Amino acid sequence: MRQILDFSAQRPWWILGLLFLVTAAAVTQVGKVEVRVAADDLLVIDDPERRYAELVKERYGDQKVVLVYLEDAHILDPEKLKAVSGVIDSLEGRGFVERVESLFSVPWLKSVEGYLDKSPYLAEIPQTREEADRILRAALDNTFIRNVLLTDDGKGMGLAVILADGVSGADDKRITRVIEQEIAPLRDHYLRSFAIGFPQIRHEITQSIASEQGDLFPLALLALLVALFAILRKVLDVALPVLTASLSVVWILGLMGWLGIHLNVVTSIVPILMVVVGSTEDIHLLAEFRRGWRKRIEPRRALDNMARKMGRTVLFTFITTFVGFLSVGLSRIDVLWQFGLLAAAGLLLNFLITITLIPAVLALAVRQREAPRGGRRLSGDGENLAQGFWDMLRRGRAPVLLALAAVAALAVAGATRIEVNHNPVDSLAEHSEAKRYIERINQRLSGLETFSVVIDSGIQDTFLKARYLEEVVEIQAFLEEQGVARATTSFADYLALLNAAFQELDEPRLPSSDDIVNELMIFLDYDRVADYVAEDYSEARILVRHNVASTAELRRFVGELQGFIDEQLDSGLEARISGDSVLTLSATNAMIYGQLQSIGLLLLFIVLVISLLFTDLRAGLLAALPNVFPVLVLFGFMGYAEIPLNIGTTMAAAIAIGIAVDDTMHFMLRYNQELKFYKSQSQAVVHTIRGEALPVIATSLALIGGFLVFATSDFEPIRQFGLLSAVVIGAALVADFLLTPLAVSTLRLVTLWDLLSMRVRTEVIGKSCLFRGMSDRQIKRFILSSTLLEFKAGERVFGIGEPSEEVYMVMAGGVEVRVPRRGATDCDMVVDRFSSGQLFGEVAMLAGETRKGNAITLEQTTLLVLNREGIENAVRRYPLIASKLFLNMATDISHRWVRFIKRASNNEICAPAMEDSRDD
Amino acid sequence: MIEGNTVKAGKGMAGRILALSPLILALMAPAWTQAQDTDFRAPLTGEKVVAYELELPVGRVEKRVFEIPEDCHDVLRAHAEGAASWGSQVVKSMWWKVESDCRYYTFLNRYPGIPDLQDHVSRYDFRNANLAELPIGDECGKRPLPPYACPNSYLGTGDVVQILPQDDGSRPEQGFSREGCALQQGAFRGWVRLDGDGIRCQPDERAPGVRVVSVDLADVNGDGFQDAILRMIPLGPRMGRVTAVLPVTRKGEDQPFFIPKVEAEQAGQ
Repeated sequence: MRQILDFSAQRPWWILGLLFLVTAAAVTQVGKVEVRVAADDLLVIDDPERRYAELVKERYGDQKVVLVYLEDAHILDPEKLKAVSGVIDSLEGRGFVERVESLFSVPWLKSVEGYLDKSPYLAEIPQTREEADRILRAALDNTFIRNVLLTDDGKGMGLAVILADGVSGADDKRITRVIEQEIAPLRDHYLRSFAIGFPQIRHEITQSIASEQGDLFPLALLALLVALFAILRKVLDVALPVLTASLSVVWILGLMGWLGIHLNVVTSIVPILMVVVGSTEDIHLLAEFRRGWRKRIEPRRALDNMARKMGRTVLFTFITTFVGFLSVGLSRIDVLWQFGLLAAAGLLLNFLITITLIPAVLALAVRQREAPRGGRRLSGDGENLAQGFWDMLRRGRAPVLLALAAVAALAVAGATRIEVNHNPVDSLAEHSEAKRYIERINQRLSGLETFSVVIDSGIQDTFLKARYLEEVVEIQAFLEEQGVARATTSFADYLALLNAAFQELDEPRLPSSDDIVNELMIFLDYDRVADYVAEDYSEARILVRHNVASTAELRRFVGELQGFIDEQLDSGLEARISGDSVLTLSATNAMIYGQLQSIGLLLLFIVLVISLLFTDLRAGLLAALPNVFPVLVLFGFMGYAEIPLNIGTTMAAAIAIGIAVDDTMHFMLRYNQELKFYKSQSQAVVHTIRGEALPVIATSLALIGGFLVFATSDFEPIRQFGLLSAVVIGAALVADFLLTPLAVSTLRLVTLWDLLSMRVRTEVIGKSCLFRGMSDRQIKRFILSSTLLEFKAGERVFGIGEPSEEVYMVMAGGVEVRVPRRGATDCDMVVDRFSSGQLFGEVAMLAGETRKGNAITLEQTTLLVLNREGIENAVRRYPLIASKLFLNMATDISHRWVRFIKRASNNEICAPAMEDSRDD
Repeated sequence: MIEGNTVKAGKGMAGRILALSPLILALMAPAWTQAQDTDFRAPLTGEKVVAYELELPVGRVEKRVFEIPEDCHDVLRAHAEGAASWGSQVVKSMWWKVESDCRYYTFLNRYPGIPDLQDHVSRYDFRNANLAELPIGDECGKRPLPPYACPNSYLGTGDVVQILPQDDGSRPEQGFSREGCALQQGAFRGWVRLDGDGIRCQPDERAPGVRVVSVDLADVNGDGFQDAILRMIPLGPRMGRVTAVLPVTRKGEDQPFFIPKVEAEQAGQ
């Protein structure tokens, strides 16, 4: 990573040229991006239920219908009906219309002098209100009409425009426009008239998506600009993140155009998301650069410093964010899968742009010898502020942790109230015309939601037997008893109508014997019932229309139906519930599972990466802690704010955590770096806070602002996604400043890199007297609980009178321990000299005394520091290892004592006195 | 008129009427010239037609389009040869209907074109008749059936008595009368008592009933007297769907109706 950053800084024009070429190529593809909306996108990929539903559709037909709804106090007035008749004729003349089902076409099965009359209800236009009422009453007896084409009160009527085969989403705009034109005359006759169907819904969504790209994109850029300028106040620092974000958008749109990937409700947020999240790494890189720049170090070194310090960090933060996005792609729901892959690809492109463009532009900028004035100090110099904050946090550790725990507990309680909603209609905006129409249809008619109960015997002519038809009717009766299904239709219903017509009954009644069924079948046109029964009558289908919007209610309803079927259905029959509603439930399950899976996997990934990075599982778990907290807050917020888990909100947690963990990573990695320079963990925390506060706050505020842009979306799930993501980032910010410092301060982090450097010193450790007789694993336990400290030549490791809490092992370099001689001013007594692999400082520590000598480095020295706590832990947890350790220490002290006596006898223990040691 | 309605059928149909084949073939013997038109319920639609067309299986794979009534001769022959044993239950029902229609048509046209028929029935309004004036239960209602006169036995149709909604004795006697048996626009709804005193009825609009679906005029026994053939169906739930055929005639305008005798040899018995 560092090499890439360095390369980009060294060859800025090459990089800019390359970026320009790729961008130009992307621009040529952007125009190919289409908006395409398909209901299937919301379903589960490779769902067995979906395959079965397709089979049912194949078998029983899959009509594409646009419903023209008319409402008035007297819907069958002659003038009105003439207008309707004209509209139907006109619609049926359109190529995209197969036919129009209405009271003008649905047969009114009745007996006229003993012969069947199937002329439609409105074969003749009624001339009086009485006549109209008689027709309405008769039509309401027909289950194929009641709540399907006619409202219960007879004041609302539907015209089902059946679209011709071959009509596709590409025709939506034309169909919507033409039908609107055709039904326009009905507005003069009916109080309410509108057309609604998939073409209208898709057309509205498509228009909204296109419009949102125009509205939200500039808004997101504006939010980013405002956030960046408020924090950074430096043109270049503001312009660069905006530039990388903009290029990312062009690249991802170009990629979509090139690969033929369409925009839909969910994937449409990817370009805007790039603007929102595409600037975070830029801010951290710029912060590090400006830090060096402010210290007035040579510009080239400032860039090098940025590459050295941030290269690894941005790589890891990119990986976690990338995995966050990718985890959404693990979903089995088509649209989420598309989103996850697309967003992850977008993020990768953004990362590539960031790590090349930022150093390249900065390299060019520093060539202009830009003065380091103006602008906010990104990394901040507020050491006092950081110290004050840390002191306050440390003092208030208990109340802070308690408060966070209380918030988490409250959130967990709220999370239990979360409902799942996967109703595609809820995706539509509140002010959506289509949504209003759908709600009206749901309220007045049986609703647009459907599912089927398919009952199979596997035996020909089963459903020509009265007893099996009764089974069908019993299921229908159960459905109606539940009060959820407002219209259920079946083959039995048609037979009941036919039977009533022949027997001149007052109401439809199922034939009472097989003989009657067989005779009725003579007069039954199979095409009329092809939607409800197989051609060999071995299988029957009940079509259930309902208006249940709540997924929870639908789940309960379908569950109860399945229970009834399992208990009551004849053992010779098998029934299966299928159709759009069931697929919605299936998708809901997939969504819940996907949500848990992506959060779980992401947290696991974070734990693993950080554990590996710091070679300490505790580090991974601690890093997860400030990211679990926002998840809890998210779910609690959803529960209390009654925001359901839906296609939008299901993405929020994984994406937001993927982004939010970046701050934790920045915090931990910097803490690890600071630990190498500061002996005290507290000091390291203070410097970490000081160094990361502003970039973390800046990126968080930019992200919150960006995500809140989505809150202006027309689509409810996207709006909720934006709001929830902002909440998560906010909660993560709080957790990063309260939880992360408290958590990491309990650890001395050893990175993998540190460990790798130790491997280089295997010889040192292997030959060390301290670890003699210990296995690699036992040695590693000590190594991981220790810290490496770097000292320059002549630097003091400890001094007389200081508490003796640590034991030191020389990894590289050399150390001398001296004791000032009483009365002597020219030289100190050299107690001993220590080189690679040797141990010192243990005498005072084991004696529990303060330091009696000064430890001074003789050259650039690296020391491995084992503290008392670590040793005591080892005594408690690993007594065997501890016994070896103490034996080794005792042996070492004995050898040194022998050596000291020899040197004393040879008068080799004098060294030039140190001034500061005199002071001590 | 509906022509061209086609049912595509698959396999065969049971031969429950197969046993009557010799009789049927005997009945269809007369010439078809100047045939008496009659109304049929068209398959699939149930509408009133005088002719219809239907494709039916006549073998395992062979099918044939029959035009009814023109092809009734072929229908009855094919049926007699077991063609109705192919196809599904629905196809068998279709075969049953076609064969019934053809037998009825044949029954009407046994003596076509007899000149100078004495007609004492055509001016009678059977659709508004009183059931008590018709020979219901007189002969065909009695058991055992006489060897002649009851066309139901060879037409495969039901007896009128069988389709009448008969009272189970739970209703008060005073509610029943002969006057109550009047048909209105071809239909009677109510309860019927049939005993030694003849037929008495209690009208009830909500009760089951019977409907006269057609009144055909023909000389079914070639005796030179015009006969009226009433086809009646039951109305109301849980009533069978059997069509009853009641041929009636009389010797004078003021004479009572009776069932024209079809001699045993004429009936093939």
